[in-house]
Amino acid sequence: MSTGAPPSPIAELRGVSFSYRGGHGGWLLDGADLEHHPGEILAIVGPNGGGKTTLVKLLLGLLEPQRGEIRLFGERPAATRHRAGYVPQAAALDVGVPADALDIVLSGRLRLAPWGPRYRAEDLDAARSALDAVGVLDFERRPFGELSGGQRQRVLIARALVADAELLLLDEPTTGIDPLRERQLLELLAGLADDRSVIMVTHDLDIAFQHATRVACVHHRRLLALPVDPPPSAAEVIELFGVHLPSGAHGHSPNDHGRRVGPDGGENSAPGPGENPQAPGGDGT
Amino acid sequence: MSFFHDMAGNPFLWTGLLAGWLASLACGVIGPYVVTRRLVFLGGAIAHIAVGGLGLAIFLRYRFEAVFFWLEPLHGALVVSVLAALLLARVEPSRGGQGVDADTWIGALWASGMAAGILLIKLTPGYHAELMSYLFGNLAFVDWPSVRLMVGLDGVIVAVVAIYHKRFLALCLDAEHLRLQGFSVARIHAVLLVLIALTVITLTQVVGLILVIALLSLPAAIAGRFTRRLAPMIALSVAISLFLTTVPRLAVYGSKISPEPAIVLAAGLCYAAVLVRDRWRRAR
Repeated sequence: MSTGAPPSPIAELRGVSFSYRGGHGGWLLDGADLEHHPGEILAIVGPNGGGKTTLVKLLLGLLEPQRGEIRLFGERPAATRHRAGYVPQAAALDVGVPADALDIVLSGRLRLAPWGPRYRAEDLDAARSALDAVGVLDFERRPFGELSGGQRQRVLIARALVADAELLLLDEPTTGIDPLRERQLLELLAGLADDRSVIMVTHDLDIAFQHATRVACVHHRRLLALPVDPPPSAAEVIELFGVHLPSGAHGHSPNDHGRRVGPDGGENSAPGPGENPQAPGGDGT
Repeated sequence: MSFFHDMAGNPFLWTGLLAGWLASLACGVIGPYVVTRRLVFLGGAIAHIAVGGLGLAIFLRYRFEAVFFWLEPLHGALVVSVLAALLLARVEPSRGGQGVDADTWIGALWASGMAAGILLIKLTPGYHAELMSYLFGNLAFVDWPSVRLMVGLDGVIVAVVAIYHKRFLALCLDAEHLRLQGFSVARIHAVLLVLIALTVITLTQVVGLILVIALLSLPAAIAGRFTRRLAPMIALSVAISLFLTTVPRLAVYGSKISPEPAIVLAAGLCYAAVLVRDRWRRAR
């Protein structure tokens, strides 16, 4: 058993409070703490508008907290965020952009590329390797707008990989993707997590508890981290998050796939007998 | 054919044609960024604010002739349009909501710049015939100093785009991702707006400040209907601009129709034709 100090966290929140009203009420997060360590896959779950994406933007330094401290790779996020690969929802990009898949991935290489109109051969090789790693190399010259939702998401993951990101931050990576492509994408992420850390925002509890090593829930200004082995019982989830799960929650049977935290903290799947169909409301943003 | 016949005896036909080609290069290169980043309204604002520079140059030359005898209205328009670009860069779209409404800010500068220009011209005695040339274009009387200025501006535009193209493309694709890589989105956006200001000046004598917006956007918008990548879009946009500044000019030569509005109307008709073609194809 090692007696050395535990590894420094890659991402760390200490007493973070944030409000879009500049601190004048309307707190989305209040006193949030979080540590994310190397090799972990952290899933952030919670209702839509509950602050999941805000949390990711805080971690990347795109938003500044009114109180508390955030560290990314041990420093201020603005100084180190280039070491993280952010994968927004594919829908965040305009499908009309005049660019093909290779152009999109190459844009992730900009920091390493020299000035001038063209990328170097090594940049092109790296971009093609990244496209290959996510399984869409065949579509490298296809316009971004003509790709399917799953293919676009893979292209954006390739853009994050092409700069050798040490941490992947994915915002709802499976939104708008059919179940088969969703499973393929999650398998891909599991493979990528072998040599980098992953933080994934999702409102799908099954994805969170089946594929993450830790799960944190953003809800009612709280940020609560849980181990997934063993996973919390349904009663614990109800008590902690106010989110009601069907009986046998986190049993992870193939048949219970698709349970999602709804916009108000409830689940989108039909409630079973005796279940509460409406969970407590979220804060909203 | 009388146009080519007359060229031998009328050097202004040469300079007019050259001015059209030089303007085509500038708007063909910058237009695709303008259209992709949805900066057409901003480009229109820069062009109209430049009227303030025209008025300022005319006023200064009259009031302080001993000092500003060399000052041409286009010089004033150039300086003011660049300053306007730097001011407008402060309302970079992704920063909207930080206390200033981008749309209102652009509209305020657009109207105020133009009003200042009109006021300064009113304060300057005499009839300023050249003003109409800058407002509505004047391809019939482009002089060599103007051509030389356009060559210089084209040189700057092409050189900066060659250096910045990858950054401009990344800005057009996903400004947030560009920021996450450690680049200053505000600075790159400001460089792009300054290039738009320079392009506005190259277009001034071809279609006039009032109609600049047409050549700044339509050739690129037409090109965007034929290609889905930025680099080919730039090449095609330059070719379309060359066509638009040359063919209508030759077509109306010798008639009562002015070439400047003919160029703009041709651009509008071509864009409409491409839209109709696309709709027809989708319906089939």
